[in-house]
Amino acid sequence: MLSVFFYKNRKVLVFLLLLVVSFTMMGTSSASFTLNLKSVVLTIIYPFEYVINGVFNFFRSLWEGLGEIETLKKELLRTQARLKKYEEQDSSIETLQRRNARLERLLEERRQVRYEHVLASIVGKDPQNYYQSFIIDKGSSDGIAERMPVIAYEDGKIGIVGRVTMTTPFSALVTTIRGSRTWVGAILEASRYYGMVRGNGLSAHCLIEYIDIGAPARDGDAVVTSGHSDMYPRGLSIGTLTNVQRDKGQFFLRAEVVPTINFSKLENVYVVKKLPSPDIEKLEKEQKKL
Amino acid sequence: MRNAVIIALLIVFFGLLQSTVFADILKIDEVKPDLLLVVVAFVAFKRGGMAGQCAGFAAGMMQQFFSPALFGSYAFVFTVVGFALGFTQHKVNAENFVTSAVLVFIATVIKGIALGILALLFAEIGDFYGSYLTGGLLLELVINPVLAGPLFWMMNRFAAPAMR
Repeated sequence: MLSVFFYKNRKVLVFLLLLVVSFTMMGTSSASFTLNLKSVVLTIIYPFEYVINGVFNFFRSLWEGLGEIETLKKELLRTQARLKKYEEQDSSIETLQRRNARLERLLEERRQVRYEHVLASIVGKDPQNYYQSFIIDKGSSDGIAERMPVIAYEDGKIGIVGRVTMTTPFSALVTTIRGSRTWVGAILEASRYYGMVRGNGLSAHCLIEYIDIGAPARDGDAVVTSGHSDMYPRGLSIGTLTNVQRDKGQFFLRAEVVPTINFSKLENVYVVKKLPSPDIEKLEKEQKKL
Repeated sequence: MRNAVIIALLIVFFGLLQSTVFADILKIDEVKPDLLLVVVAFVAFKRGGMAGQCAGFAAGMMQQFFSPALFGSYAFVFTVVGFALGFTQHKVNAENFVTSAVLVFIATVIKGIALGILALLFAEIGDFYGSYLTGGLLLELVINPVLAGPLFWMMNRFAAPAMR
């Protein structure tokens, strides 16, 4: 009788079982076995991601190269029409100059990153649309460890990206400052008022909290890392203030931060080889217990 | 067994595409399509609720390994989608683009509702759900159905004949 009931309702029973398993996983998501399982799966999946990424980048650069050749052709034709004496000019000089300029820019970027760092490329991204994490092609075998800060260079500025939250030998998971669980100690660069920046879900902007209501904060003010938690080096650009609001009766003002780094365009990042000092980590843990 | 292997291959293939920079070329205003949701909708429609919910659970687990989101949350959302879409088996003809687009539109709505339920229960999902509902979900409701036609056609052409 019971077996007939189970057989007849097997679809609903399996559905309920899967929901229970999902909820159990959500309930125990902070347990270490889950993270270890993630680490094992990431290690297995990494080569496939690397290959797909490589193939895709190959075709993309091929496509871009074709476009570039087309542009050069048109440019050459225009030049030929206007100035006959340039007919024999080697068009590849321009390509070489462009490549040289790009390499010089990369070199300049590396010089400007003052901290000991590892350059890494992004090989995998958060499958959903949250831009809260991505996978890089460097791991513990390159000296990368959990909690190391990650930065990037955009439009002449070094900006904070996030921190390493998991490592495997050849890859690492980086959680960005757009993650809703990520808090960054911040300071308004001009007025020196302290606050905390955190992710705001799908929004491209972060939130800044705990800034005194009386602070002379305006839209466009630069926000940098305070260096208080010792997690991120001091003075790194986080972004600029926008939507500053002062509600009556509140202690703190409300504002959003436009991140310096555009996460959807990000291709390369620098992992700073710096870990919080053990003493500060210990103090933070004790504070959490309280 | 053979069906399970084919469905697993579909999930792994589209899961890898979804998590690499490939999916970025399909995105509109920072929102990329949910390829795995389309796969789950396809499996549920072709093979029914049992296969759909199992595929949904597996697809959710696949995504979980690339994301810092609450462990098990994607599994929950995709299981619900697979179970619900299973009711459409043999009821509509998804060989044409419009029907497959409607199916995936419904799947995206169910995903939004399932996320909403989780947002009520878990604060850290609630943190991003508000902005997802007004931003990402609305765009996904457009992008996912548009991609459904070509993806259903591809899976009908290459994967479905191998299934029993």
